[in-house]
Amino acid sequence: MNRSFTYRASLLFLAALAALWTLFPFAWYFLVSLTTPGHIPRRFSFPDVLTLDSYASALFGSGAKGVSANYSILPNIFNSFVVAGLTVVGCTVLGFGAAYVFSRGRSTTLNVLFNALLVIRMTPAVSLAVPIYLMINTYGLADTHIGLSLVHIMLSLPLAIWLLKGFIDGIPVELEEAALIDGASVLQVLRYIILPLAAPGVAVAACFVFLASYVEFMFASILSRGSSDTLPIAIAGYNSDHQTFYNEMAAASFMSMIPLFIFFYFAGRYMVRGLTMGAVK
Amino acid sequence: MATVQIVDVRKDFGSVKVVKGIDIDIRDGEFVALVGPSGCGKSTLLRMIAGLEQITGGEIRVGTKVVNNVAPKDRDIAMVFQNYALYPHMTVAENMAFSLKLKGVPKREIEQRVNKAADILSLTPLLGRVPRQLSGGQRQRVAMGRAIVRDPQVFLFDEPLSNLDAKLRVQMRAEIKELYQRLKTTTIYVTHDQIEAMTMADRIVVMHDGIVEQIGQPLEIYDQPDNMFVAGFIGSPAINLYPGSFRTEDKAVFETDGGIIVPLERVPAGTPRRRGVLGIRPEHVAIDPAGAISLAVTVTEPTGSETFILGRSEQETMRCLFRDRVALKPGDRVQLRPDPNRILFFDEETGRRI
Repeated sequence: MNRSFTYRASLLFLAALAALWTLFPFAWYFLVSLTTPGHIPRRFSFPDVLTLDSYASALFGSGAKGVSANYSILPNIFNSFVVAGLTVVGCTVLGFGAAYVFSRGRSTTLNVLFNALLVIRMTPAVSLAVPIYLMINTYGLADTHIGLSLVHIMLSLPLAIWLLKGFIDGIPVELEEAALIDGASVLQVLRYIILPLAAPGVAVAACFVFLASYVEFMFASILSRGSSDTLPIAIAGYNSDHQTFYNEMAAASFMSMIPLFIFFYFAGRYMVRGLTMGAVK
Repeated sequence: MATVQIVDVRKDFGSVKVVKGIDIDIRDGEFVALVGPSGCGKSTLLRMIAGLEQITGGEIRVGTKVVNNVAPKDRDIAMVFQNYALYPHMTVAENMAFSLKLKGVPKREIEQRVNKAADILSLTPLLGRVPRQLSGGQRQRVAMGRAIVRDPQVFLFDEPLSNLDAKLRVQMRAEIKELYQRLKTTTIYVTHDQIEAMTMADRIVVMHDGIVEQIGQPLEIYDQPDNMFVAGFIGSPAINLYPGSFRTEDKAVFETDGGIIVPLERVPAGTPRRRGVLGIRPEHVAIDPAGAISLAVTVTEPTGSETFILGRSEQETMRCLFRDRVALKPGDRVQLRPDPNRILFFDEETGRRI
């Protein structure tokens, strides 16, 4: 590795440019969140006073009148977690079972079904807005955690199945056969062999599904009427007819990312691949 | 321990007939090797005995019980897979204990049985490791350990040594045989390696194209192959086979189509026609200045314990194997005499031994 200085410098420059391009809006937004409520830097400039006032007011609804929306996003964080949590449970449980069947089954019908699942994901979500609204409303599930998570499960299940199928495909079928001969029932094979070996896949799927539900806006806004508002709804709520509370909006946005970091940190520990090594060969 | 009876067992995959009616009667405590080239149906047959494959027709009995529709877990058999199929997320001890745990055997007893099996297979120091920390031979032994802790009626082995290197294979071959002699459990062993079959089994089942070509003791199959396929498949280096004609004008000889003339004491009885196929095993020729076959040596392969010679005689190629050191080099010419008592003749059309 004896590359010239110019070569390395230009690579570094490209990387820095890419990073800057992506991060600049966030950086600016971050500064907005630290600016005194009511002030918005029109250009990228460092504010005279750095303050956490917007964070406090977004968390506790404690901001001054006129420059603050005066509501706390804590209930919305709770709602988001409940909805995303239910969605993760639904998607991993259903997705795991379905992925196993799609992985091991050998039939044309299964192939068609599996491809259909992926094709359905290609339709724009908005085209489903009306039927879903009608369904959820008919069963009295509008503005409930369950109602929204049912919709989120529907949206994310194909991805979960697809991800999990990939992981289960990688588990040699001989392990199942060995377990069957060892005296396991099909359910015991799933419980003792497939599930532990697909655990990294389940963690990956859980992360993606959690993220998708956590940031989902459209269905959350169609189906909520206040009591089950998730974080994205609350953040959008800072933009009212009369006024937009940019500082709090920015503060709430940044705070909404913190739980994600924590979730991904813990889930990431299960994503370590290479568990199947040494099983067969 | 139990007998295993396979009665007219057939297996179709769609319209493809893989196993075409097989009858094998395996005695209690017998070690039987199923041997044959790839695609002969031997693994499918083993999987049907294990219950991993549905049986299209016929009957499989373990002991006195027909197991056609019995789930694998209720057949009381253990199987060692080609790729071992160890549970990668479990330790060696857990791998071996898994079947007992499922059966609800008390913890103390599980521990005793696992320890006993580990002791037999010298796995005790490895009990706490997971499969990826083991070498190929160790994994193989764990797979056997998993089978023996259960004390099953029947052991099934599906090409268990084919993933090991040559030296380890010979070692594990001896270990499996030793284990069998100790446990005397009925064993069915699938292999494509005829040496494994010859050295390990009480009886060999030679399969080809979904049917049984011959069942017999190893040396019986070697010395008296029922047909040309068995003669060609068993034995390494392979038997020399020459189509040709019997002649009785002067004295009885067999003349191969390639021009080798082998004097016979007499034409074998029951020769239906004048044509036939001569079979000479490579080791059944001797160097003899008065020999009828004149061989031009093309390749010599001395291995120390024996010498393999490839040569041409008239229009035929011939493989010869000598137990003694022979000082031959490519280009040499040597006279050979086939052992008249050990040459074989086959019917050219049916392939059956005459």
